[in-house]
Amino acid sequence: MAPMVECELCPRHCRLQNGQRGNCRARMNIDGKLMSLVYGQPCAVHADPIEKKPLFHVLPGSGSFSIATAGCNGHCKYCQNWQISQSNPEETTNVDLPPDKVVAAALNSRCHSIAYTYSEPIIFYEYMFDTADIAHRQGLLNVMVSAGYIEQKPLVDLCPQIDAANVDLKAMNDETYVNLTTMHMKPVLDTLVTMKKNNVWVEITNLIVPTWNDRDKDFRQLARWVKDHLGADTPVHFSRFWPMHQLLNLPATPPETLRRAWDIAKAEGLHFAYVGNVPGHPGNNTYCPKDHKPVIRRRGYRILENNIIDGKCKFCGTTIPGIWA
Amino acid sequence: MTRQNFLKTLGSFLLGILGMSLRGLSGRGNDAAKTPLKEARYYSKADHLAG
Repeated sequence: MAPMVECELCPRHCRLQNGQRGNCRARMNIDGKLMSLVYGQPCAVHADPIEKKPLFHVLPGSGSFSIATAGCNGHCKYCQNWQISQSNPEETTNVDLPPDKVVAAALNSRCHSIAYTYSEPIIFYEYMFDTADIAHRQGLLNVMVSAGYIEQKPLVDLCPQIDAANVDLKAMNDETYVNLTTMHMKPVLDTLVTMKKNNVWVEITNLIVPTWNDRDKDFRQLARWVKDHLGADTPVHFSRFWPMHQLLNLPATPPETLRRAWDIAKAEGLHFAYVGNVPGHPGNNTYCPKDHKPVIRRRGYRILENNIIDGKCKFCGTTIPGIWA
Repeated sequence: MTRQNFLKTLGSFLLGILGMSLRGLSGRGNDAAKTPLKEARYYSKADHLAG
């Protein structure tokens, strides 16, 4: 009889009998071996502006070749991509795209980076890792958009392959985290600290969901944690929720709420707070923390003006942290 | 419908058919020859575990 296996990739530690697949739907015990069911089988492939990730301090205006497979180790009530994240790999339409072909396609599309995104790249770890390795050798950056629910060992091994990450920080207390996403908070906080320590450029997204995580106290707590553990230069994107998946009963986040979050984050000392999913909002721009002039003006994903020269504000010479070239 | 719009519609239709044919010929889709499954990293045999 084939042995049981225990997956040690994410904090769920799924224990799987022969023929069982993990909570993520993408990893399965086949005859006593844990197999990735999604290696080289993305169900979403697209060249996106890197601002869509969102990563605002990484090669602004550049294209990011974005891939995802089916499955996710989180189950957020508001998932914007639930059609793929909450599906088995055999339920989605996939293309056969092994790592070398992803890199070739990214280069053909004149993208400067590959983004592992849309669903949850942690669950296609092996595919991401091998693709990222080839991408680096071809001069491309690797960026990851993730909920950050991963064990420390695989994360530390992955960090050298990843240049930048946008990690969702979905709430600031464990009860809300579990109820909203089925994930615990602490492993996500650990991921953020470990990425930072291992030289991954980190930006954070906080999707503000009415009645779940939209109190001033929530914003203050989040901003303080980020400042204390990752530093004031860490960009935080407060993003507008839109009714989706299992939260169709809630309204979209009111613009005033996003404005409050933005104001509180700045008042708490964060240098780069943003408002997302509201095109034209002044919170789309990057402001120099010293002279407060807009160094990058954006409208949604579009760059209207870039006043960063050699990583510095062109008006006062202050260094703006990020990956600019 | 103007002549120009008619030609545009016809063009889109023909391109659509061509696209579907190419997709079939390129062997894409779930039934096509796939990259083989890959053994995952980070797991242990767990015979000692109950259940």
